[in-house]
Amino acid sequence: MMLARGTTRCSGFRLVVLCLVATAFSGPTASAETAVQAVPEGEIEIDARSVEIDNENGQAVFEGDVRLRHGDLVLRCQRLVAEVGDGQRLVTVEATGGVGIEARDVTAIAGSASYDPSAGVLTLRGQPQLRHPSGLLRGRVIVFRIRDARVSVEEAHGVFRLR
Amino acid sequence: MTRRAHASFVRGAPPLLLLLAACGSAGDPTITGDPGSVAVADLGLEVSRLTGTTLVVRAERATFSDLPGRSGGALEHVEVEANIQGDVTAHARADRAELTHDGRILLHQASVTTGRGGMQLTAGSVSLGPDGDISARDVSARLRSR
Repeated sequence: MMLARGTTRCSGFRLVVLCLVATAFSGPTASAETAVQAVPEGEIEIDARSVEIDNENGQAVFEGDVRLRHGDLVLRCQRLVAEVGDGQRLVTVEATGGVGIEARDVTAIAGSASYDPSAGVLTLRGQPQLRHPSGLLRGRVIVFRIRDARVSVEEAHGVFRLR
Repeated sequence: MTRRAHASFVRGAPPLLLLLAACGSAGDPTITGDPGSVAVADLGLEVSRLTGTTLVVRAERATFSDLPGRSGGALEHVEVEANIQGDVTAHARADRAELTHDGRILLHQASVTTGRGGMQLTAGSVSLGPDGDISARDVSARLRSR
């Protein structure tokens, strides 16, 4: 996977950092196969020790060693709240407690994360760190648009290997 | 040939007594086991509330104990359908289940579909409540993302 560009929603030092991020992450990378088989297109799989389903409010709360899989994305946490909307499809998830992310050759950790599966947008908060073979990226908020492999960071700080 | 027994339960009523009453009204259910317990084959059991929530339980075999404090009944090869105001909120199958005195159904090694196919759940145990609420342990859920 290649991470292409940072956002322009920051200035000065942050913009420079994101340009470096773009340069570092856009280089050729070794393909890394995920260890688990991908979930079928259009489906999300969630494993957990327990779940409470509130049909009236369209909410399911998963707790304990939670693992969500959607395409190439694997999200791990201790608590995950899933909102189910019209058409009985999953609208958003909110993950808390030791959040860990794997998406091909990108890994990330954060205190919390929200995920919009239809848009493929993952937002990491709580001292998030995103790691790629070419470097490490920290920030206050990291937004990872999975489909087009774009990363935007607020208050970014990155460390990258020199080629 | 065993006859199907049907009963409509209002929440709070003692399930065992109502079931036994239902069995009696059904005419000739198969009754086996030791004194103090009954086993009813080919059972049709309906647990309903005044709010419009209905749990319809079907089981190939059910055993009910009348010992105070014990679960209301043990079921085998179970199928449960939960309805709220006529809308199906969950459909579940399990090899084994227990009816509890607080009106819940505890399913073991169960598969559940919620809503109209919204979420497919397999779990080590699933508890269905009289309000249509669901809790489960050791779960694997599948949902639609679009």
